[in-house]
Amino acid sequence: MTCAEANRLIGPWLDDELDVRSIVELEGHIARCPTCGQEKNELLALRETAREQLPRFDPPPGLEERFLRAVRKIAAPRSRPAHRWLREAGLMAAAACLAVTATVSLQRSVDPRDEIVDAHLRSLQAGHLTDVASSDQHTVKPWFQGKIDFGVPVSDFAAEGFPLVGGRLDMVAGRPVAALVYRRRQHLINVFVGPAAHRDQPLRSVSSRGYQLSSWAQGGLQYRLVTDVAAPEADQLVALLRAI
Amino acid sequence: MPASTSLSDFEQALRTHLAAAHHLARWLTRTQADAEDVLQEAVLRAFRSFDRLRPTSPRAWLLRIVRNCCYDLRKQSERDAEATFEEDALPLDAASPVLGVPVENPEARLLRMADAQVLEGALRDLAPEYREVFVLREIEGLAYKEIAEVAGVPIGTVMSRLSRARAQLRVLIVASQQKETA
Repeated sequence: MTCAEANRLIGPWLDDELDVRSIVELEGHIARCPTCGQEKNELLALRETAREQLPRFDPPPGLEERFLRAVRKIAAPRSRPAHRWLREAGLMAAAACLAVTATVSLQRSVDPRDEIVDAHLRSLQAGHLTDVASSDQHTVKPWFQGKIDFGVPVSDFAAEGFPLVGGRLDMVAGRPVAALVYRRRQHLINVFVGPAAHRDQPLRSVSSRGYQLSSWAQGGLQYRLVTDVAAPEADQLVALLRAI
Repeated sequence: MPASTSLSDFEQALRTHLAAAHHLARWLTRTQADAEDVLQEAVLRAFRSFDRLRPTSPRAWLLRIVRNCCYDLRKQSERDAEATFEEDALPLDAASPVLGVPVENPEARLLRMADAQVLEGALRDLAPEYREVFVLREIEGLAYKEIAEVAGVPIGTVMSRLSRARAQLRVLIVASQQKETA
């Protein structure tokens, strides 16, 4: 065994990742070769030092509970469909038309994602995409002024492959929002911006009915992005928007 | 109730592996606040795919998501800095700084004397691709196979990254100590 070969095997040996035959050969080599013996000592010294000296970052108290609460919160809607079905059945027995209304409103409350996807699909119909068609952020931004009661940050990301197509007014969850439209090759991306219930909210991304949806709040604005481009590309635009 | 079963399974996995996940996130982000943000996002992302994937190794699976979330954050914050990682092209033995130096071995002694601050600083100076394999191996005690799963690279790459991480750490530590004593 040469020193170069031995040198390559010392780490895996100390990590218990070496097969028996190689261990025997390596130990034989190290017994004869002080240079490789030294290499072994140094790696051992580094390991001991790392284990003794490096800080152990334990989670702060309460972190686990906080995460579990967050998980239960998003888990809750998942267990609702059975519930909803029962309720629908009951209502149908009482009055068919009431049941239909209830189903619609229940679905709404269960899944706001549908509403976002619907708004996206609506925008793709002829003539609905933009009220102001411009790739110039300095044209689009002032257009919103006086039409909505909050400021909308508008940026063109043509250089990054997401040219701004324009903007329009839309409704999401019964509230007027600014819709910014971006293009990625032949695909369109709607970004709905409106006042947020909470100033900041971490990013959540899901896919629904073949569309990518991302939602987050920052600076008091709620952003909801919807598109049919692939998730990694959608994430790129999300990152760009979050960095404005 | 499948929904509640999966919820309690997930809770169990989270309780078991949160410490490791938090530890990794702290090493791959700059601040405690960043680590917690990344973790929360990772936990939610993990929960959404838990049902579908039913991972055989929940630890490696959770750590992989945490790791990817950390890299997403880094990409966002370093968008302008353009810090892309390239595998070190040097052959392994050339990356090792010690072959051919005298037998007396002062380096091992210096390494043993390295204090927490020097070591932590050196580890933070490594490229995250090297830092993560070192942390996962030396502190979390993961096997190569699991590290490969977390980092999404072949085992051979884990071995070479780990070797380079160790070599670079030694150079950094010894250099910083020689600066101190000089």
